[in-house]
Formats: sequence, structure tokens, C-alpha cells
Amino acid sequence: MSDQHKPIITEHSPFFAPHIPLNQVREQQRSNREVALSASREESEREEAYLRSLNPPAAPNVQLPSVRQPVLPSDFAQAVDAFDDEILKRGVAVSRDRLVSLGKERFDKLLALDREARSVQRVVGCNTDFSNWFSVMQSFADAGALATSVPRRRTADVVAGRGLDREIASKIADFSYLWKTNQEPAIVRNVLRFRDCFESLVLAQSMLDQLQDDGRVRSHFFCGGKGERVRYFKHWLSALEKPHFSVTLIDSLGQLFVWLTNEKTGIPHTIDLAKDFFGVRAPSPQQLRFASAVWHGFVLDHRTWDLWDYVGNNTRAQADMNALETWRAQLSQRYRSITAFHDQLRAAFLKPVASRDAGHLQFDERAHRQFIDAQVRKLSNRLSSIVAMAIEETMPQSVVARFENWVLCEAADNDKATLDAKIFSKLQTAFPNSDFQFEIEGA
Amino acid sequence: MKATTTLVILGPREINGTFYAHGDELPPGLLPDEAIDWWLDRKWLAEYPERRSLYRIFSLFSGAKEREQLDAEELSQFALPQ
Repeated sequence: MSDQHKPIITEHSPFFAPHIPLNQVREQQRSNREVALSASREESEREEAYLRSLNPPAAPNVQLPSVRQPVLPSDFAQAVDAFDDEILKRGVAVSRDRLVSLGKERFDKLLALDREARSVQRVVGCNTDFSNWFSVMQSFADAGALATSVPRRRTADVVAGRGLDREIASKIADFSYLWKTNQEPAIVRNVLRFRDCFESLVLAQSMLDQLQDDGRVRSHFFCGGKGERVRYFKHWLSALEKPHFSVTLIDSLGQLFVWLTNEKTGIPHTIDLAKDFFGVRAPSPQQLRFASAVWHGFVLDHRTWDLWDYVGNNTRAQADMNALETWRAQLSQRYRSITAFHDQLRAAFLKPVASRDAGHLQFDERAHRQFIDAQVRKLSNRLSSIVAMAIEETMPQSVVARFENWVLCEAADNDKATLDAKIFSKLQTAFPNSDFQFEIEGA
Repeated sequence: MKATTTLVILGPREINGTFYAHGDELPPGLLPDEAIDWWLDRKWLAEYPERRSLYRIFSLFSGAKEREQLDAEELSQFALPQ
């Protein structure tokens, strides 16, 4: 390498830094200070938010409203248990021949309903098993017919704890929820009709299986049974061996809430409600079902999508949300005590929730619903027991089944006036100032 | 042919004076085995093991000799409890 191309290297001592003007140094220092202050401020805000999240707002001191209880003797629970044991031992007399003959008739109907449900094969095919939910669900899913009109619950809603009612309302987990699909209503209707007949036949066949040598069926179901099976059992009353009559409580749920909340306005007639809601003079059976479901949804404090779900489950049809809210608001204005009771109850289920920005109160829907359901179940069971025991006192050895809102009795005839007076008196003692209505049918 | 498969009629057919629509289940014992094989070969019948037979489920009402039990969950939901 020649000297001409040698690099020129200059070394500077670290003690002699390049000269920076004083104003630039001050500017630099001020800038550093601002950055440090800003970082410190952000850190203190984070710390503050963290501490806030550790300290949610104080829980409101709202106690559960005292739920009115019936006046019952101290040994009532034991008496009911003993009475239920008696009902279980007694059993229901069923005619095997009549049950088989009726079953054959209904089995033919089931085949006809199966054929009808398969008549349009856009969704269901020859391989769809209507007795199996997963087969039907698969067929609907393959055809893209499982969509509902319920708005999706977004991630932001989940994080904020909102829209749980929407999530529940959008679930299609069983045949009974198939009405929520907003496509192919005719096919859904046919499948549901088939299911009704199918489930009713399953009950009848199990009755036949459990029919004992003395011609009686014994089951715990006859001691306070409830739900859809009670409706299906009514389909087979004509197969009973002995003459019978039944005592049905009319709108026991509505009456219970009227009594519970000390509501001064009496329960509405379903037909009047339907006329009001739909603006018609002669409501159709479906409109009557809607009116009844909206009334029961109101007394059970179902709101928004929860109410939509409740009404739909009872009518198997989708209702308009705006109409439902309007009807609910009308009922709230008319039944002030029921509304006040529910408002007070809801306040007791607001729980403090900590969040990063600030704590807030969140309504615990699940706990609220569980509380109402438990109260209704307990009161309905007591109501049914009182009516059944009143009948038993008047006509010994007659009660063979006690359900949520009706009682089945085996007797050739009944003294309607005496029975009526006895039930009324027992109900007045247990539920003072109540206005329970009941109907005696048959025999 | 397995005893548990369900035979389904394809296309509208009339057997012994009774009309069966497309997708109807063939009642057990209605046709002899040879006839069933012949119908299966001609695609007048189809075997669907995934579809339960209504005749076998409700054997007490349909008169079917074989009986198909519902599963425990279905029985607890719809049948009469003990």
C-alpha cells in the first residue's frame, strides 16, 4: 500500500467532548425532565387504576325482600311426605286394553306425522332420525337452517358482562328450541308435531311397562310431577280404568304472584289481555297462548330477550321484541305491586364488580332467576299439596295423583259444593285473602 | 341385513294394498327376506342404520317382535319415573 492511500486517523481524548452550546444543553435537560415526568405520571395512573380495581365500589346494602309465606302447621312438610307416600302406594288404575288400543291409534298418527315431516325434503332427508336430536340438528345445520334472529353477543359484551340473556336466547340445544330458527317454519312445525306425539307415546309405553298385576301404575311422578310430562299424561286419561275427576287450579302462577305481592288488581282474563294486545275482538288460540305467556313472563320478571325466550318456549313462535316490551310495560303500569316487588328483588341482586377504569354494579341474572324459580317451585308445591289434602279430607282414598296445578281423583261421583267449600276454606287459611280459582271436571 | 338397520322405502310404493310414501319406514316382517334383498338391489329400499325404527321403539303399540330401547337420558326425560 502506498503512503498516498493511507487513511488519516485522528484520535480525540474523551475528556474533550465536542462543544455543545449552553442553550442546547438546557433544552436537552428540559426535554429529559418532561419525558421522566410523563413516564412517572403514566405509572402513577396505572398504579391508581390497579388500586381502584382492587377496591370495588361498596356493595349496596339492599336486602332480599321478604317473600310472603303461607300459614301452615308446623308439621306440614311431614304431613305432605306421608300423603305422597300414600299416593305412591295407591297408584293410578289403568286399563291395559284401553291403553294399548289408544297407543295403536296414536302410533298410526305418529307414522302419519313422520310422513308429513318428510314431505318436504329440503332440510330433512330419508336418513334423518326424528327421534334423535343430533340427527335433526345435523340436517338443519347442513341446510344452513339453524340461524336465529337473536343478535350475536360480541366479545366486548362478554368482557363487560352484558347480553347474557341474548346468549341464552340464541341457544338451540334441543327439539323444544327449534322454534327459534328463522328459516323453514313449516318443516319446524311438522317436526315439533311429530315430537309431541313421540314423547307422548314414550310416556304411554313406559306406563304400560310399569303397569303392575293389580292393574295400577305407581310412580313418584304422581306425587308433585310437573313439566311437559304432565301435559302428555293428560292425553292418556281416557285409558284410566276407574271413573275419575280432576281439580285444576286456574292460572295458579298468576294468582300466586298476586297473593305474594299483595297486588290489589286481580289477575287478568287471558281473552281480555289478548284483545288488548292484538287489538282484535275474537283472538285466535295462538293469540290467547301469546297473551297467557306474556302475562306469566311478566309475573316471573322476564325482560327483553329473556322474555322473548320464555314466550317463545311457551308458544313455539317468535314474537316481535318491540311488541313484547310494549305489552310488558302496559302490564307493569297496571300491576304496580308486582312491579315494585320485582324492582326491589332485582336491586338485591346487583353485585359490585371491579374493573380497570372504575368499579360498577352488575346484575346477577343467574342468581336472580334461580331465586325466583326456587320460590315458585316451593309455593306451587305447597299449593298443590293443600288442594290435594283438602280433597282427601272430603273424599278419603280418592286422590291418586297430584301435579303442579291439578289433582286427579278416582271416584264415581263428587259432591261438588262440599268439595268446593272445603278447598276454598283450606286455601283461605293457608293463603289469607287470596283469590285462587279452581275448576272441578269429570265424574 | 342387520336386525337393527331401518329399511326405508324409496319412491311411492303400494304393498298389500297400503300406500307408502318416499321416506316411509318399511314395517318389520311385511316383506320376506328375499323380497327385501330384491328391493334393495333395485334401490326401492335403503338401509339406514343411523335411523332408529319407530316400529321397534314402540313395539308394544306396533306389534313388532324386536324392541329397541331408548337411551337412559331419553327415558329419564320422557318416560314415567319409577
